[in-house]
Amino acid sequence: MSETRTRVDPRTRWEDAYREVGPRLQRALLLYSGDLDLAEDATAEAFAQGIRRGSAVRDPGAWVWRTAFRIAAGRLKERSRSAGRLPETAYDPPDSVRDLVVALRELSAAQRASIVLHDYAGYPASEIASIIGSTAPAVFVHLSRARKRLRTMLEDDDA
Amino acid sequence: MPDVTERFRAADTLPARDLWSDIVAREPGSPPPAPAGRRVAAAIVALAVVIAGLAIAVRAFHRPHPVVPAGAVANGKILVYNLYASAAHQIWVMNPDGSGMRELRKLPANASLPAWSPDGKRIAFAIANSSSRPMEIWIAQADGSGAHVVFACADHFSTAKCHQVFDGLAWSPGGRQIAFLLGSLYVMNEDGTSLHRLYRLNLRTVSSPPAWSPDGRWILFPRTTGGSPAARGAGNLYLAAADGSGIRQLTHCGPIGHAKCAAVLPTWAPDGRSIAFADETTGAIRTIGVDGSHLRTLVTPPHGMWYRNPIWSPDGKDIVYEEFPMLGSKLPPIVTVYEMRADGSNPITLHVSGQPILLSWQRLPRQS
Repeated sequence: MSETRTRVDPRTRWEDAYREVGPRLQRALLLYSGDLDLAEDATAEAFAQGIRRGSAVRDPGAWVWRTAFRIAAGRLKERSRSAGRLPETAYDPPDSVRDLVVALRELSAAQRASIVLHDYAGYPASEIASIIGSTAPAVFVHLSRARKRLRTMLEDDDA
Repeated sequence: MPDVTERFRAADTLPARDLWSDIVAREPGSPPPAPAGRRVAAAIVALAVVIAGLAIAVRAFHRPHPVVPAGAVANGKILVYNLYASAAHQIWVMNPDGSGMRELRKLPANASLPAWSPDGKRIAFAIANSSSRPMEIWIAQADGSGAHVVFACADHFSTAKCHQVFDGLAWSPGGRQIAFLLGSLYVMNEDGTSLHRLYRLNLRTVSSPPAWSPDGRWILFPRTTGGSPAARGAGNLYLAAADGSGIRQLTHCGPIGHAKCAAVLPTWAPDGRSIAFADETTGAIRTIGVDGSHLRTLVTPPHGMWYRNPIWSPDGKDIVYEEFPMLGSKLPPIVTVYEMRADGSNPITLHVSGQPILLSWQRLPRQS
């Protein structure tokens, strides 16, 4: 009995993953970095690296989040947090989001990554720890401190 | 005005350009060559693994068979809370020499923050802080079977409180009570009855589970000192009397920016005389006497790395801890578990993982 095997193009697998998680990842990286160029570049670079690794990556969706955040963290560190560029298309983001992005810049990298991954992307603390290279207890600390600082800054701004 | 949660929700309206054409246009081919720093780091890690393997072999063949001193207990398996995102189960066990790593498949898949009971026969763990499920504490047998809830936060507290920081739990030395931090310090019986607040703490920045002293008199926990930002202290260790009679500060690390230490993840030596902790100012593993004296640094990590999660072997001779790269570091995201003598000497590699982990070391009954 002959066996039919379907050869899946690795690029197709990664494109499916991109269609599924790419836009949300890109927005999360924009919140994290406050920099549209960096967010797009880290997203594209993570997927490009994933394609090159092909089937060696078991779970493209999970892998690419971790890789993209590590790429973005490394580039932010190299640049020592330049001001960056917010989206400047015909679309104007709501003030509430623009204020949020500005406020996020005042947090530490670990606090920003933790709260974006938790409050925006919906990741549990254990997976955030995996993505940013930390521990769940440390992530809880980052979340707690980040929320407190954001609340203070945004409430002060609102006053 | 919108609160923080609503602002994050509104972030879905941010534009996201289609990058697929950019992605496929990037240089195709084999995986990109690692930068020199990463190659060197990877080589160092590989070399460390080889050396560690040799060291383990040498220790296995040349160390005298460990003699458990009178009054001590034997070292059992090490619980590993493996934060591997795509694994079916996050809690594993391994032998003290790093061998025999396996999943505890009978535990719920989302079990976290495990701790051996003092007799080594049971495991308490949490299902904690997911956005859709309030925190719960569970207990299971050592093989993961018989898992059952003993504390469901939603049965006792508000939803808001149940989504506060939860960082794990501590068994009392007799195994009859469990302490945990949820804003304040709480104690309950092992079956979840007699829950009561031992101290009102208003904690917002807990960074590790509490630790119950071997003599049962103290519950150790870290916290950041309150006050103005300028006066706020780095992480300090506090000793709460288990009878509710008061709390005393153990470390005096100083204000943030001038701190000489920032203590998290403390654990008691089995003899109850000293405490090991991770110092977030340097990433070192340090010890301090229970009276606040003899602050010592046991091991300091290389640049760009942290040491975390020290745990003492039940016989008190060794300390296991983990090393991982700091966020933003160009080093590969490899977590290494080391074992060293309790004086900081002779560190060897036990386990190399792609993921951060937490540890708990099983006590076995005294060998007669």
